[in-house]
Amino acid sequence: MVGFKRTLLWDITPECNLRCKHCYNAEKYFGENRKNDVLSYSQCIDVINKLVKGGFDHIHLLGGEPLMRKDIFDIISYANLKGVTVTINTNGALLDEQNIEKLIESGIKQISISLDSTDPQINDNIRGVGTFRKVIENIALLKSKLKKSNKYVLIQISTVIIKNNAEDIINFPKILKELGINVLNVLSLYKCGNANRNKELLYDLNIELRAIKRLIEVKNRVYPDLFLQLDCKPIVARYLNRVFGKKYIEENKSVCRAGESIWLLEPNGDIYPCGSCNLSTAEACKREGKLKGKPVNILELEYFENIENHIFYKSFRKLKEENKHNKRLCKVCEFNSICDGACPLKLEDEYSICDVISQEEQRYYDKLKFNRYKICENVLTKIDDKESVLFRMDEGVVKRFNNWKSLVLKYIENNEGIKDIYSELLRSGYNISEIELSRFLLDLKCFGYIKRL
Amino acid sequence: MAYFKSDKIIEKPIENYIAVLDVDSEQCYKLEDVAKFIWENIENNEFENILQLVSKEFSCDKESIRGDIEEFIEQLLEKKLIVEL
Repeated sequence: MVGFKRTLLWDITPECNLRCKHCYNAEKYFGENRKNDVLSYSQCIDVINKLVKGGFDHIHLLGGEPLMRKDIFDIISYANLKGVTVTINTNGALLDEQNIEKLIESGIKQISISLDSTDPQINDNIRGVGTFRKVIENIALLKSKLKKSNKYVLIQISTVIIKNNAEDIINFPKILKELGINVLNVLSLYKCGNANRNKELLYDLNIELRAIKRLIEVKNRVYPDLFLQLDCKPIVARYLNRVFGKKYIEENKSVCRAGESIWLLEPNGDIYPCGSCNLSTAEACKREGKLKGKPVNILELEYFENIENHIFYKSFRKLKEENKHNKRLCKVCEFNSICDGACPLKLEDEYSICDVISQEEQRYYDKLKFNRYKICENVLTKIDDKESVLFRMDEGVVKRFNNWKSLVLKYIENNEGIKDIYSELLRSGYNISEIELSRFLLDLKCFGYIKRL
Repeated sequence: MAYFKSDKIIEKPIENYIAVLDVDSEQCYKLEDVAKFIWENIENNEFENILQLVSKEFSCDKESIRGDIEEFIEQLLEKKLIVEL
């Protein structure tokens, strides 16, 4: 979704040929209270026209399974004709020869195919018997058809990390290399819908972090060109980069664009700021009156902008704003300026990743403070009180530090112990916390500037 | 006229070479073999002395290496790693 002015996530159909055990939309689309009405083809065309007027330049098709709609290719073609980039999420099971040809012809720009394990048994246990074999066959067919067509379509694999597949995830780089796919999208489990009914799938954050760490290790060894798309907060990206001593993952902004440059459209045309607004995890916010009113249906709108002042979306924006940085850890987090904190509509666990990382950082500091460090042999230094410069020969980038960081480097150069360094900093009038010092030392250590004496 | 290392550089012997970093331009240079020897002997030294030292260290005729040494020192001056005072 990066690089687009405005994106619509479009659940274009509630129908699906599978019943995955972790499907977050299961309650909404397959449950007893499901809404059956779906926009017709001509209504979809009307929607696209409104979206174009509303400044949308990207539609990402989801569901259900988008390929269950017979008219999906015409919808994509129309959007493409109007200058909208269209991408799609599919479970891959319906990518037969005919559908592949129509999809390529329609002008689709990216196809994201779901696969939850490289082990057929584990994958099929989640997604349905025979899905692994079918999807792998279809991917090979898709690649072959694309090659003949001379058209460029990005293909990526999406996987959800859960308890069942956390061990197996390290096998993805090898399989993707064999398939000739160079993007792996790694997602966290949404704890709603079918996931709530299938508790054995659930995981804890430590398992997820460990799985991602191992995946990165293997990927670097087996398939370095594989691009890993991880939807993680910058604090998690920084933690993983520190563990590996290299910047493998971008410490990107984690800013919620829901209800601003990202919107969600349900199959019946109801507009939501995001997919979380109408899941069971948002019920608490609705009960407490933090999310007010009901969403508007796009068929009732002439212009998209008209919904901005509607009570439902105003209450959503207020909820977002009030929730920013209202957690204790957010206030002291080094990424405070580029991360909005936990999603107010999801369960507490999303915030807990920050707790896990902070605990890890505290554990590191508790080990660090009894050590002495020295500058690494391949690092050039110019250290004084005001500004210090470090240059690692194999990295080739000059790093500059001033204020308390420069002082820390000076003390390290003099072989002072970390506990003494911290005392000296406080005596010098620098009001920094142990965690801040720990983070700086971890960065220096993990990125190869200092090592233990 | 003698040569002096610029105060805008950081240097460090690493393995079998000397790394020289120009902090302002953020360019780093690896000096090996003869270049390393010249660098180690350049501070407050004149050209003819340096030429003499190199010819003795590497057992070669002064006049046959004069041009190369001149060119190297010229490059050091051009890149502002040294100054002539």
